[in-house]
Amino acid sequence: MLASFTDAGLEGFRLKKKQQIIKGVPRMTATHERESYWVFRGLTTTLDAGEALVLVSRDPARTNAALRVWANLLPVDVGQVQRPQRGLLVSAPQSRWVRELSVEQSIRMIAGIYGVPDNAIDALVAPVASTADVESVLHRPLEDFSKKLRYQIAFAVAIHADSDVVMFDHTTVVGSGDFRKQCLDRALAMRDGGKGLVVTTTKPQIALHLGTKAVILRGKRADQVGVAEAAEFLIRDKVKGRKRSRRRDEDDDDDSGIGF
Amino acid sequence: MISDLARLPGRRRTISLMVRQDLKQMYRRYRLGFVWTLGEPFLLAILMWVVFTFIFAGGRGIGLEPFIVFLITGLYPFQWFSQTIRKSPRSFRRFGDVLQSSPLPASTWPLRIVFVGLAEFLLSIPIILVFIFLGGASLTWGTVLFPVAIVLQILLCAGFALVEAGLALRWPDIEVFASILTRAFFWGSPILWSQKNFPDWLQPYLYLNPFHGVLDFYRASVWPEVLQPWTSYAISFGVILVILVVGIWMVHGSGLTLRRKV
Repeated sequence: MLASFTDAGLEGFRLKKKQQIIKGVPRMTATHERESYWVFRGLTTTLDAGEALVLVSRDPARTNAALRVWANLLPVDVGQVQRPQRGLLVSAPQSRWVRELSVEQSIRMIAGIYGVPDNAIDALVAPVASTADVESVLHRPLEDFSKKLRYQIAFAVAIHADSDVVMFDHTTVVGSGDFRKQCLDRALAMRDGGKGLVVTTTKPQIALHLGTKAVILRGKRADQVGVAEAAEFLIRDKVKGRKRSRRRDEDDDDDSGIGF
Repeated sequence: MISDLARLPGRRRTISLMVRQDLKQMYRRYRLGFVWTLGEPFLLAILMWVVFTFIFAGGRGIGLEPFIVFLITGLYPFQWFSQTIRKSPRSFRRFGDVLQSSPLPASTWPLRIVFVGLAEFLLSIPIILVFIFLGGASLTWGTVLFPVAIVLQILLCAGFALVEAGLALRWPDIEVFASILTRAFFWGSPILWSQKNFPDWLQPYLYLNPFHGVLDFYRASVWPEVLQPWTSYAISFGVILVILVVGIWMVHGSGLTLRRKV
């Protein structure tokens, strides 16, 4: 077993608009108060080699928090967690991480930010450049290219980094065009090669194609389900209108979430 | 806590890329670009030299000539120190998104600011040398203390950066307080004055300001006579160590809960 949650729960805080009674009329005011809530609770699941766990929720904050617990970035408040020995959390690289760097330096920077140590990065540059189709432009500034190149580099780092579990958060995107078409095969190869994959997604087809098991996260409970049920949940959720995550960066405006 | 810190040396090339990125980003919108890193303290030194030599005649009481070299050897290290104090409280907020998704140790982000300042300072050393030779001064045996001063300043800046970054999570007002602290260090450090301006009994207490000891080591390159008995430096270095330990505790002592507060 590579990683597990046993009846785990994480408490978080959110800002809630205050209700005030003004001249006898209850109104929501601009002032906010902090309110604690369960980001997830009762989460029990395991991840073995060669499995792809799909985490779905109406609120991407819940699935991302679960990923960050496995990535050793957040603690749990209740329950037990067994973290992967060598986990790699992949999130969409922001432009300001690498704005002034060349393509080669960007590969090094993105790998470094994902936690790859310096001595492993040297060996990573050539295969990542090859996978991301950037071999011929290694010394050109990254800002000469569109943001999709950045995403391709990030995905290529995830493929080649020495890790036993790769976790894709909901912001991960994989470039476009030809590269996107190859990504599903690459992700399946990673899974079939013995790595554990964890994917948080809002796209039903990703759950169906890639997942081997799934968990639906809600505030007060987490249900382990089959991938078909998770895909159905996402379709129903899309019809209802899903909650949008808070945007932090100017280039987050595209359709986020891993997709092939 | 210690294992978290022990991972940092293995990330030094990533951190150096971050420094390069920050330096380029900082100066890309100016026509003169990186020249301003060197030009700002240079112009400030000229201004202060004019004011304190011709208007207040303040350089005379210091007894260390040339006064312009005295100013330059104080202002360039102070620029690094003040930049650290001013920017560190915002470091976790500025890098909040990457802090929340990257397994790099949390201290990476405050230390990034320290190393940007270090890079600027190292690039300013030729300017300091030009001033020393144009000013008619010469290097002495005390130059061997210059690298020691750089190491001590790295520790001092790292300590302040970690303390302020950790404090900003609990008490955001530190951002306002930082500018006051910068001014306090400017007037409380021997940039415009020397310990000779103070009575003998008071001089050891001046070294409670840790930057004082660091500046003496820089200036010993030209004026070895500024060096005081070792006890004074023991005080300064003791304070540096205390600040550093408190900073490490503030950032790493809270473990994973730190990222929840950002």
